[in-house]
Amino acid sequence: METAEYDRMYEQEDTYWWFVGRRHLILGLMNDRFGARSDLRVLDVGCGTGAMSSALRRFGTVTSADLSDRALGYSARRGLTGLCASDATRLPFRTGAFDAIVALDLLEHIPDDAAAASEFARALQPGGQLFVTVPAYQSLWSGHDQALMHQRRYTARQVRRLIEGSGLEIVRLSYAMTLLFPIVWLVRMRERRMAVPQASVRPVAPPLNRALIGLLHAENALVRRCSLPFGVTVLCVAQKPRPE
Amino acid sequence: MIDTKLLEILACPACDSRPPVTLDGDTLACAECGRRYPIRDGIPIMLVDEAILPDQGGHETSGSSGT
Repeated sequence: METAEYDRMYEQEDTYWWFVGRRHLILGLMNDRFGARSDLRVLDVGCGTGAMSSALRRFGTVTSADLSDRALGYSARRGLTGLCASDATRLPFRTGAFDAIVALDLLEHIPDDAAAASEFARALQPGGQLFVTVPAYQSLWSGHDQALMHQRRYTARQVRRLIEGSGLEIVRLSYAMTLLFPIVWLVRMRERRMAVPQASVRPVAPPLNRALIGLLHAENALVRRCSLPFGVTVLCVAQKPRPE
Repeated sequence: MIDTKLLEILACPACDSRPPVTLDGDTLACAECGRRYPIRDGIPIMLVDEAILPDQGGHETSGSSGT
């Protein structure tokens, strides 16, 4: 990602509806699977500016990995300690080192996403869980994707193929950010006409931000119970098989 | 300076078997391939491109002196 996008992310990650909603969804799903455990070894790969890693500390020891020095610098400012510069396609961790790996909006940045998925599978211990989000539908491609240096967007079917290809078993596969789909669609269509690509993480008025967070919290409760047929994000939870 | 729990799980990304690395001065060294990974501001830089090769003492890509 470009430097300015990290600066913007650091400023907005704690409060902006998109990040708040995504964090709430993943923490909820982790809670469903791990309950109140606080002894887990968790990897946040593509940690960005660190808000998710901070929230993950309630589950145990968090390792935060990113390719970007700038992102890691921001994560350090949050007081995170398990920081590491790494390439997701060649993770610098022992095999089976983690009980959970979180990769939020990361795979779409990586040219060889299959290599990254295989590395997630390797670094998980048997029974360990992977939590992934990626942007949905190539037809929603816009300047937003360009500014964030995405390689692609995904369908749920493509995510299934990618994750199963790495040897992991799918536990949950759903679209998410579904209620906002019509709004995002309209914004993206408008962005296609913009001269300069820009990520659509722009400030919204606090009451609107609060309303969108409320909407996402309601939707997340639904996603935790059933799979939604479309949305702006693809969500996948997968597990490393235990030996027979 | 480097997180001890992190050090326990770190491995050499250049070696397919992902062997452990050990603290060697201000770097993390792989006993298998001899590469050393720098630590900057307490953060290990576990990137193959930034590793210092044993015989050259330089970076893998640039070939310039990294010591």
